[in-house]
Amino acid sequence: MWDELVLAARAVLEDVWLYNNNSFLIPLFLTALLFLWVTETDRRLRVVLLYLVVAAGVVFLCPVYAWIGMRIDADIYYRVLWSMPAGILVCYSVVRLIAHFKRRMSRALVFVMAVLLIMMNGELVYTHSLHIRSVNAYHIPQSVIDVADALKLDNYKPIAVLPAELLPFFRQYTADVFTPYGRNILEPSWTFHNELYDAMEGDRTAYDVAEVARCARNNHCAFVVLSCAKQMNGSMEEQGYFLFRFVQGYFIYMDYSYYWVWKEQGLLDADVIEAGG
Amino acid sequence: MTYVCGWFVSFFLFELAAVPLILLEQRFTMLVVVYTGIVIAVLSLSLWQGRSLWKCYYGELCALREMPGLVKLGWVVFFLLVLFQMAYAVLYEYYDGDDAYYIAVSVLTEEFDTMYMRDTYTGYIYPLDARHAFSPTPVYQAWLSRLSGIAPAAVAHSVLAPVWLMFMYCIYGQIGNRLLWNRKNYKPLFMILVAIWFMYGNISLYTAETFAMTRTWQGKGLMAGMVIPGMFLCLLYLAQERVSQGMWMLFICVCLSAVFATSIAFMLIPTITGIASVLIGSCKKSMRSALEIFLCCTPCLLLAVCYLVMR
Repeated sequence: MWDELVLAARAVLEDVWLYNNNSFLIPLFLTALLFLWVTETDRRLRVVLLYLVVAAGVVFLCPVYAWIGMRIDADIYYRVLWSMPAGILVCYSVVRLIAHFKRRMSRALVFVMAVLLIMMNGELVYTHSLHIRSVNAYHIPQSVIDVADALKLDNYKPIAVLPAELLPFFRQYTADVFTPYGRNILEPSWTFHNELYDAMEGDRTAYDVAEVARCARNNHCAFVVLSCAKQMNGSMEEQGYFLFRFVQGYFIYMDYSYYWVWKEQGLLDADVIEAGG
Repeated sequence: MTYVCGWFVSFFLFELAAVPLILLEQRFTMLVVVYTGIVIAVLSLSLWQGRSLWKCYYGELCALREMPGLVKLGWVVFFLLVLFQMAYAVLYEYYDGDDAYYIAVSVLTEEFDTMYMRDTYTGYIYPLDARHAFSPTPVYQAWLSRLSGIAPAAVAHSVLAPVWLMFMYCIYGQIGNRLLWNRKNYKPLFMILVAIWFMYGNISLYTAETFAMTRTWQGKGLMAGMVIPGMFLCLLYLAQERVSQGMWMLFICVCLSAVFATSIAFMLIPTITGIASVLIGSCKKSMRSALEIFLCCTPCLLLAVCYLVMR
């Protein structure tokens, strides 16, 4: 039990360390807390802004509480730190400091210095994170939309296997196409395994077409989407597939065994029938 | 404040309507009918009950003219900053792996008319995912999508991202009102600092500011950026001597909105409410106040018990 508490305490400190990331946030928050502790006179504000924050901080850092919290979900325990209202305390402290000065110039100087302090020590979210210009209202790559639209059938929901780079976005756009695996397979820590994924992504430069075709059939995939950025060792046509479309750098192949059955059942769209011949 | 209350009440009502229907494995369409009916009823009632408020809004608008020039300038700067953030949220995309789960839930809900009954990644039929069912933010987005006819990904990324950013600043605006009640002219300065604080708060992947700015549409972003500040807003008012009935109702709504957003609420909300009830009760020297505050998180605790049982 004692060892577990020690581990929980270490994990909490690590969470705080990662949260702050060698930055100014926690020191500034503590400075604001101290400043308000000394200057704030309104008893009701003190209760919520100071006593509550300090008490909650103590509870969240307490190894026993952390141990219980981590038993529920250790990966997200750091989120308890969200309840430390750093932004409110720092901004309110700055405003109180500004209000303390009588001269307009002094007030302006404090304000500018506070803004500079935040800007110079912080990280601008738009440059520090993975923001890119969106090309559509969905905020997903256009290639995903075009491939998904090509795969959709009016009368049936087929199963299709996709290259790894399309997986995180595909299901955000459509549920009209099933996939043997999704973004879950990309997370190594989640330890999902699929032989088709290994066949598709095992070699970064080329596809072993025969292996891909075999595994795709085992996973009941009517469509196989292959990236043109990778070489093909073999031919999909030799494996009983035909090229249905080439979309945004992706070859979309359909399995003839599904083609004939679905054609007979009237499940295929006209463009698929035309491509299959 | 009306706008802030409106969102929290809508989350509260959705949580109450959605969770039982999800656990009973009902169709999504049923939830759409039930919740839309509740929203229409509440909207009609509140429009009728609050008809006198329009005069107050008009009065507040007229009061804007009497503001000193510098205060007006401050507000202009603040609104430009927020407008920039909202435009950036719409025009730029941010890759987040969790969208492959959350938005996919909305897409599957909308397409298959079931809730948490499909594997998010493959689309195949799956047993009820009770773990996520207590925080149905993606189902709420599917409801918005069904009503508007806009795809769930577009609702999340291009509609909710800017709208909930504005919602977040409205909450901070109300916090500013309470903190600076005797220094109203300083409010725009407070709001400008808050806007800059959020823009430069990306010091690590884990901060509330990072979640609020980059994952605004996800339950986690909602919790970090809106629900927790909303809770502090309520507590700031609940610590006063006289508390309006509306504030108690808002606090209950915020507590349940936290569950609506993310399951960490099961731990966080009772803890903060518990500490706050002891401290505010001691400050007011009233056991009754302490008890009343803690009782507000009873719905949250009841859901926590259900969650632990079903987990």
